Amino acid sequence: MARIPAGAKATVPAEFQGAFDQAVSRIGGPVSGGPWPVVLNSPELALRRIHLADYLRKESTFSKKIQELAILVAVRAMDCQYAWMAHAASARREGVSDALVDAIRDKTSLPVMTPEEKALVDYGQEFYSTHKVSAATFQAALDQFGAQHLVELTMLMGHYAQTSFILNAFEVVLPEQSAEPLLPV
Amino acid sequence: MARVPVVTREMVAPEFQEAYDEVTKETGGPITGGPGSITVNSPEFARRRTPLTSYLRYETTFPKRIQELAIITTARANDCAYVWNAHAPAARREGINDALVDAIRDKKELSMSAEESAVVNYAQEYFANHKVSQATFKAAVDQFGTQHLVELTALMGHYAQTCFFLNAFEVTLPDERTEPVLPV
Repeated sequence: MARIPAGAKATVPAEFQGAFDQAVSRIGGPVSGGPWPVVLNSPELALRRIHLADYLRKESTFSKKIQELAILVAVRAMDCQYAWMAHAASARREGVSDALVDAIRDKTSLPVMTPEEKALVDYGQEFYSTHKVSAATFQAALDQFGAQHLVELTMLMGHYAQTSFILNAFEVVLPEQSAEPLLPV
Repeated sequence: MARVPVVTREMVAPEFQEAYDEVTKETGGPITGGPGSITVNSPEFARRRTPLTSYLRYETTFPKRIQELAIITTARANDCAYVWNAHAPAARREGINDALVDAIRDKKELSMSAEESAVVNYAQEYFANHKVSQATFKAAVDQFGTQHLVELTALMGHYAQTCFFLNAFEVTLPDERTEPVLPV
């Protein structure tokens, strides 16, 4: 549930019904949680967005661990409870240490990280707190990931910041069961 | 110019050359400035982002002036001089009055029409607090309806993403400008 009903085939305009079916199929079938029920109020938007999200999530070749860490940094910065709950668990599964996940959540001083983790966390946190990235932090991230992957990681964080905006503004309700503590916001 | 070099076809991995050709078709060669010069570092990503941008900018049916107002409010909240410089003139052209454009730039309060305040309050509240109050949400959904409010939210999120990569990669402003540089 959210502040608006889920987009449904019966309620979207006739010219969007084809896009609705295609989007649902690309998402992997009807879903009741997360951003998609909200986004499906605009089926053509949903369809084009899932095509882009699939590249960032499923086809890009940076490691799954780095991907989940990038998502956590973005959703913590956006205070998004829903995305945090979904991704803190997967970040832990992909090998991000509990100490690092918890420090990002609680905004406490960060534990010792690998150079790859540090390059990414510094980059994301610096942008979201100051809207710019210092030369040293940018260079560390570029050296670590290269231009293609750094662009993709930036886009992934921006994509999840957009998701956070949707989830927070439309007040998508959290699942009843979660192994994760709530994000302090 | 930016913090990374211009991408030429020779720099692109073979599996991405077809995507590179597609995204550089309009320029007929390497993209040397603006947001496209950054996204082309990931040609397949760039190829998929274009249709999304196109939907949010050119195919959706909410008024162009509301779109431009949403974009400049987002650029201001994310301190993005590049997007500001590109869209403040467009907002003025679409009929957002100069006093409102300037007030958004200078973070001043100003009275607005009901339609304008519905989008500006929604965006400013979200970017400042990461949430939207019930009254502000209701004003926005009453004004735009669910489909258009979802699209406006996605548009602002899309431009916030643009602000992130333009700022992080330090894409330089064009030399010829009609707008004062956004104070950040």
